[in-house]
Formats: sequence, C-alpha cells, structure tokens
Amino acid sequence: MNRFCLFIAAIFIFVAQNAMAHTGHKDESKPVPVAESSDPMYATEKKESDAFGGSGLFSPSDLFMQGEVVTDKPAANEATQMEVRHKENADHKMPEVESAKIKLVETSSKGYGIAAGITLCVGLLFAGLTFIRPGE
Amino acid sequence: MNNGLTKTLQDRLGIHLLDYDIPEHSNSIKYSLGGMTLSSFGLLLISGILLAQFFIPDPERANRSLQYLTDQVYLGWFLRGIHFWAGEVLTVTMTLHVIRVFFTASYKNPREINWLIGIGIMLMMVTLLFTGTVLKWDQEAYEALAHFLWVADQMGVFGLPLTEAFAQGVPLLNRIYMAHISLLPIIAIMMIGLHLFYIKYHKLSQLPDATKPAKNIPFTQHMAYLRRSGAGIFLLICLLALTLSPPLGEEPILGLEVTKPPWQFVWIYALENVWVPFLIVAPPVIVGFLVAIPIVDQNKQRYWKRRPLAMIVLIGFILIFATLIIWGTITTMTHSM
Repeated sequence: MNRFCLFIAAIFIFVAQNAMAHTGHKDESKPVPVAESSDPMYATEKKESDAFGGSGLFSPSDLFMQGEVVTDKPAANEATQMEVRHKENADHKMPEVESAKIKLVETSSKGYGIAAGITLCVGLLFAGLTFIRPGE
Repeated sequence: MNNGLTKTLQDRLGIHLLDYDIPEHSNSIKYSLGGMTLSSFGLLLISGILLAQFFIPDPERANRSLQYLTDQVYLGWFLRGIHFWAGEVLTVTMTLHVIRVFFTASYKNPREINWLIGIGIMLMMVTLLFTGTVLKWDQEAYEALAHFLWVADQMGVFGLPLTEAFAQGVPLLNRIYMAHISLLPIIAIMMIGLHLFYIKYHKLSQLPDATKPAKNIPFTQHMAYLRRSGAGIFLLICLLALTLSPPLGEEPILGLEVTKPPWQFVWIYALENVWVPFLIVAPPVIVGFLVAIPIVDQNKQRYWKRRPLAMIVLIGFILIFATLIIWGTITTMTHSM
C-alpha cells in the first residue's frame, strides 16, 4: 500500500513540477514580426477594425479619434504632417501576447465545493479499496 | 439468494471466463502501468464527451467557448482540468509502461506484434495530445498548427490530406476536431482491444530473472488490483484538477511566434532550433527505431544485467530526451516558420 501511495505521490510531483516548469512560456523571445496571414480561415474577429466603416457617420478626414484635436484646417506644411506620422509610428506597438500558464485554481470558481466533494469521495473510495482490498 | 443471483449473472454473462491464470507479479505497480494508462484513457473519453457539449469547433469561437466553459459553466473549469490532467498523467504512465516493457524485454518472441501495436497506440495518444493542444485555439495552439502545416507542406502530395487545400472552405480546426473526437479515439480503442487480446493470448511475460515458473493468480484478482490503481489515478487527477488550472490563452495573433509547445513536445522544439528539418526527420526516425527494436534485438536474454547494449540504448534514450526537454525549456527560438 505504501509503495502504491508513494508511486501516486511521485507521479503527482512529477506531473505538477513538469507542468509548472515546462508548459513552456518562460524566457520567451520578443514577438517576431512576420507578415500576417491573409487566410480568412483563421482570422479571428477584428474587435475594433472597421467599427465605423461605411456608416457615413464620419467623414474620411476623421483620422483622429478620442483625445486628439481635430481641426478643419489642413496641416500647415509637410513637415508638420511628417511629425504627425512619426508620432503615430512611435505610438504603434507590436501586439503583446500574454503567455498562458498553469495557475492555482481559485476557490471562488463555480462549484469549487462540489469539486472538492467529488475529490474527497474519490479519495475515500481509494482509501476503502486500499484498506479492504476486495477481491485481491 | 444473493449468491444465487451472482452465480446466475456470472453464468449468463460468462464472467467465469475471466478466471484464467496469470503470473502473481502482475499485481505490482510496474506490471500495472498499462492498466493505469487505460484508466486515464477512460477518464479522457468520459470527460471528453462532456467537454464536447460545450465546445464550438470554429476558429472564431473555439477559444471563447472554452473561456466561457471555464469561467461561466458550473464545474466547467473542473471538467476541463480533469481532461487536461488525465492527458498529462497518461503521458507519464504510458512512457513508464514502454520503459518497463523494454527493461524487462517483454517485446521479445512471441510478443513482437504486441510491441508494434503498443507503438501504434502510443502514436495515437501523441496525435490526440497534439490535436487537443490545437483545439483550444490560443497562441500556443496556433503556433503548433503552423509548425504542423509547415511539415505537411514539406511532405508534398503525401501531406496534402493534412492541409486546408484538401477540403477548401472547411476550417482545418473543424477537421482536427473531428479527428480528435472520433477518428483517433476509434482507432485507439480498436488498437487497445487488440493489445489486450494479445496480452491474453501470449499471457503476461514471466519475470526476466525467474528460474522457475511464477505462482499464478486468477485474472479477476488482478482486475481488483487494477480497480484500486485506477481509483488512485482518478484521485491523483482530481487533486491536480482541483488545485491547478490548465493553461488557456487568448485568441491567437496570426503571424506571431512567441510560445513554446507543451513539455511533451518541447524536445522537438529544441531539435528544430538546431536544424529546422529535424521537425520532419526526428519523428519518423524515432518511430522507425522503436519499430525496429524487436526485429533487431534477437538476443534471447531478458534479464537486464545480461543485456548491456540494450541498457545503454535505454539510458541514452532517456538522457537525450531529458536533455532536449530541459534545453527546449530554457532556449529561445532563433528562427520563425
């Protein structure tokens, strides 16, 4: 019995530490910019793109959105326009991917008590089979 | 009355046929690793059927359906945890089972065919693991699929059935889902059935160092042991699911390559970092090596001390894999697909 319990504990430790250590999202390199696939098969919903497209609510000159001053006057000169473009480029960041990792389960998860109860029942079943050993 | 009912049921169901003799050492951990793997597989099937009720196999909704399952559905997080951890435990027990069979030379005459069937089952399990990784459709899944498609593309006409071009207009994720929930499990179940049949037919192998035939026990006694070990495996999986939630990222950003594969595949990631074509070469070489073992190894000895070359190969194999897994974990990718 002890050997079996030790075996189960060993697997638990092995799996858990492997999972924590190797699920593979540490020391990641910075995102490598690669041309985005144009295949619509994998395209996920573009959350913000085209939000106002074709609605006619905004004129084509409405390039600036919230928090930016829009004037009716054209840019004073080409240098100013360049400056605006530089600023836009500087503001543009590569999308950051949040690594998926194994996390501790929160006790506030829906049905946590029931899950703990199921685990307890399985534990009792295992304990019962280990002590009584019916059929062995 | 109870005895009478039991006897009638045993008679009608033919349960007495399970009372055949097997060696006594079957009731030990190392000779029950296959049974433990089967327990995990059974749990994967049941939890997979339940998970399928909530999963939408569409690239635009797959990830969100899983997010919804884990966040909103009552016990959804636990169900997904059971499925994930059963897969992890299965990987460990299956690997230990293969090592045990090699260590005790149980693949030798007359059990060569069963070794090959076992390799086939292992391939099915690895494929199920891979397709399961892709189905969650986060960044890790997308990148795993991108690598797979690259390999399929390199295989030319042989890889065509594995690409989008084979069934244009049908999302590949949909086809992968079909493979994951029907094609692969059906093949795996049939192979497991065949595996069990040949275990019965050739009987469990004797201990390698036995000088006389082992004492026998009825198979039903071994079933009782397997029932207990199965309960232990279930408990372990429940404990893991209760404490650690499986990784699930957001929807993928196409074109990026920033994640690493799960630890079961990270060795190939390390190899790929050395030489990209390893991605194509390594899997068939390893499978070919495993298939060749019972054909090449004609040494009649089964005790490990009398098989030094086999032991060197085994230790070398384990060391290489362990090194690659560690290396793959700490290294960073120097190229992109």
